[in-house]
Amino acid sequence: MRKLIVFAALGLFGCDDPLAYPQDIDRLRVLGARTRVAGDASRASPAPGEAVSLEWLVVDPEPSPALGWFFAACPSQGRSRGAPECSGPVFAEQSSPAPSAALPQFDFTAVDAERILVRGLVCRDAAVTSLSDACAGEHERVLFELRVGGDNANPTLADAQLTLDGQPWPAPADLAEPGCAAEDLPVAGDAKLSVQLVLAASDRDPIQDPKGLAPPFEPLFVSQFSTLGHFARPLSVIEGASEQFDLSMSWRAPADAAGQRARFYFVVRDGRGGVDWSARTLCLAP
Amino acid sequence: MRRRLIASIWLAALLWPAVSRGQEEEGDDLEFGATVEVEAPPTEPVRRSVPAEDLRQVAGARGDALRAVEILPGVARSTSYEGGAPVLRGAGQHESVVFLDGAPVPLLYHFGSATSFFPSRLLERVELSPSNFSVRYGRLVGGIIEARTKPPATDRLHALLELSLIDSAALVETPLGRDASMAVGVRRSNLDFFFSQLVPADAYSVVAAPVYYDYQAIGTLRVARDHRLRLMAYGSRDSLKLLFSKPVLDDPGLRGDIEGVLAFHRANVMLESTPAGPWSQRVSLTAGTLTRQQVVGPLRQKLESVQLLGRVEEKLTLGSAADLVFGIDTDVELADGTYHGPRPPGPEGDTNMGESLALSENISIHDDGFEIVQPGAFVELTLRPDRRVSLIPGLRLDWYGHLRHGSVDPRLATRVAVTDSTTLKGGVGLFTQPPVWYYAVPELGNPDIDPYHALHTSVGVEQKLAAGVTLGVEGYYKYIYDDVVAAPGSPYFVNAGSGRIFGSELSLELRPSPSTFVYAAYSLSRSERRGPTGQWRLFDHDQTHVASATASQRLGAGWSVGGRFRYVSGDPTTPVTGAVYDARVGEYRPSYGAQNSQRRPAFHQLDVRVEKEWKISPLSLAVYLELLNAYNAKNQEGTRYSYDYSKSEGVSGLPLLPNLGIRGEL
Repeated sequence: MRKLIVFAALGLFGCDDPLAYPQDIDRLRVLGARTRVAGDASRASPAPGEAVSLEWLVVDPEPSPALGWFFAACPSQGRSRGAPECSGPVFAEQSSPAPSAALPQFDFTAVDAERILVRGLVCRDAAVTSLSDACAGEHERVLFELRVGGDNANPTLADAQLTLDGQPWPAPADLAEPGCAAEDLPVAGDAKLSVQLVLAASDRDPIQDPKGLAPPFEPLFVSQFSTLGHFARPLSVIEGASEQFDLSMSWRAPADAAGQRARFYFVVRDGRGGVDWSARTLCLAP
Repeated sequence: MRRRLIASIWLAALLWPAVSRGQEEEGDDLEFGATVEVEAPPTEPVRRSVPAEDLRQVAGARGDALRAVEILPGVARSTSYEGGAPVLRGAGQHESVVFLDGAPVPLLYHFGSATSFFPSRLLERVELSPSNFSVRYGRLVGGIIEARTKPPATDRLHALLELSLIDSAALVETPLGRDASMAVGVRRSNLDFFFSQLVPADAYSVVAAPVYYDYQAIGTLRVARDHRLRLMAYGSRDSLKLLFSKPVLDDPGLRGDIEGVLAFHRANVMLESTPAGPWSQRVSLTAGTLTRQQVVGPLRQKLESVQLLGRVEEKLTLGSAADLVFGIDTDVELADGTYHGPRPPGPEGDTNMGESLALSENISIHDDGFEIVQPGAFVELTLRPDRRVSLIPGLRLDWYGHLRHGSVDPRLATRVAVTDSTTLKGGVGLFTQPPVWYYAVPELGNPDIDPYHALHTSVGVEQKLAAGVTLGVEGYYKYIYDDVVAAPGSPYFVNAGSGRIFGSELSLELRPSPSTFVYAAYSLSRSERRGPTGQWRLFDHDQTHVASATASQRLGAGWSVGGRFRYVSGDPTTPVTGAVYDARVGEYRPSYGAQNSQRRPAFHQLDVRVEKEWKISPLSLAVYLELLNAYNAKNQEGTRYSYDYSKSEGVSGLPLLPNLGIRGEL
């Protein structure tokens, strides 16, 4: 309590203007990693011995940057605080053959451990051969810890309803197209639009808490990003105890980007390793 | 910065119980209500005592004697958002305790820094022992601050009403016949009356706070010629509730509303017997409740506890050459609580405090019967082989029931008056403290954890330079062993740390006239800690230089002015050298350089106070103005980072803050 008031006085009031907006894609960014267990794409937690593909969502203001990458997997030491660390030797590693526009995908077989830690390095226009490489250009260092065993499922955005100012907003046929496509919805400069996203109740897994202190379901966190314009906030949440599955967020179009194509990314997480994402586009009208 | 603050709010809130525990102790002054007080030589080599009346005049303390201890050497500056608890001679905030007539205080300052929980008008003295304190005190490895209450007035009715922008207070003291007197006081914050004007209109849909209040009632009764009974009740409640009109959603671990309550209520009964013979006794029993409740979005903590603090102390005067003090004290706390949140950090040295709460996995605990039973016993002999020499050996025994562990702490202090104006003093002793209680809860920490220890040594000299001018110089060294540190995995807390603290202190007190008070202090210190890795690093609140100069002057015609200037080295910080994107939660994890290898810029601040008093017998009316941070120094209290830690900027503390008040007295 003693700290709450000072937090209010010092922290909250002074920090409404962040130093950078995470929802704005203004450089090479990694936005998520999605676990695909062989034979059961819905499951986020592989069993020991199962083949896993870890897909990475990497975005940039340019639609198709050339990416070099390297990933390594090891058993993870359970840490109460701070970044996870390896508790054993690296059992799998993989790098991109050469920088390419394809999204990174790391394939490995889950070992018999409680958790697996995947660490990686993604670089623009450069090949990567180890985690200690120093990329001259833009790059991101990443990690992802996944649980082995259990039945946590990935949420899914494939069936989610996504609308823009009340109109259905379909996924683009070709996200890599640099200019506006025929199917892109047109938007006037400086327009403020409402984006609605409706998830399904089945996207949440139940949480077993014998103490009864945690909500009955896992929460869902939806991060929203755009390459042009600006979302009012970076994150939306469906709480574990909520029965409302629709999210509303506002996006303002840039005033000086006529004729350009804006790309949007929505990433949903359950906070326990379950991830999915989806992309949309708009055309900024002259 | 916001993350760091809120993480601090949530995680360090668990430190409160450490402050709330302790033992029932009583002051040295067994002459209750005497009109003339003769101070016995202190039994601690480094006890510093300033009358509450002088401390109330310290500019920047808002008339609060307990806040004014910051002017004394050995007291580092504690930032308000870390609780405001004192940092004494390089010890952690949880390792030092403020006592009110010997009872450990659960809450020192309302909301971390607003004002202390007890009105200074009811205090007689505030005494600081930053290390090497008497065996009558235990379960601590840092230092102690003792606030000693003043007996209610016995001459006539006294009343006080004070209104300021920060709070309002009322106090009544009155005799009740020939053998009894009582005092009743109450205070309530005024912040909530204009808080809504300070808060950005679009930030919250509802603001119901902050509100604090405290109350005090003291009654004394002479039940026989040599026996005096005192009853005292006091309590305090802080509450805050922030309901957001738009969610705070830059951190998935921090969302939703914020509310918290910290409240305690205490009742104390004390019987003092001071017969003419060599024996005197004091029996004291305190019972109370403590409520700690916090909700930060999906995280919650609620703890209710009942405390029983008892002490029996006997004093035997063995002629003019020796005194013997012995006794027992007991601390019992019964706690029920629930907790849902991230695993709590270690007591200090956690570089991850500023990270997103989403990066930690939450744990849930429901404990409806945690018992802490800590009996202690002590014996202290004061030998005076010569009128200039005091030798004070002592021994303290403690048992920590919830840890199934005991401790034996021998201590020795000495004072030698070399001349009438020069006194040498020194002390050495062992001190033992149990870890914060929840570190022993199986789900949270380590049920096999043990208490940790410190060796204190200090030497010094007091020199009276002239009438009303006293100079003090002290040096000290402390070594902490078996210190409790956090571990990355189970068991989450272990006795694998150590610490070393050394420094020197200089104080100069000038009282050239009854209307003038000047006090200057300088502390030079270094406090280090070492974990299992074996590398020494700076303590989180290591402050190399702490300098302050305070002066107050009564000018006549009811005018008085005062000022205080402070210069303090900035706290150590750990540099952020990069960041890694954690794709599980969509947040960046910072990478750190060497722990506590950098410092914030130095802190400096000037506070001034002007007061004008009119006396219209039997009434007096005073108006005062305090300017906190008078020249609006931009002192950096923290650092905030962009979401990916690629950009950062300092966060300044409180700006120039005027406080206007009016006080009427009968």
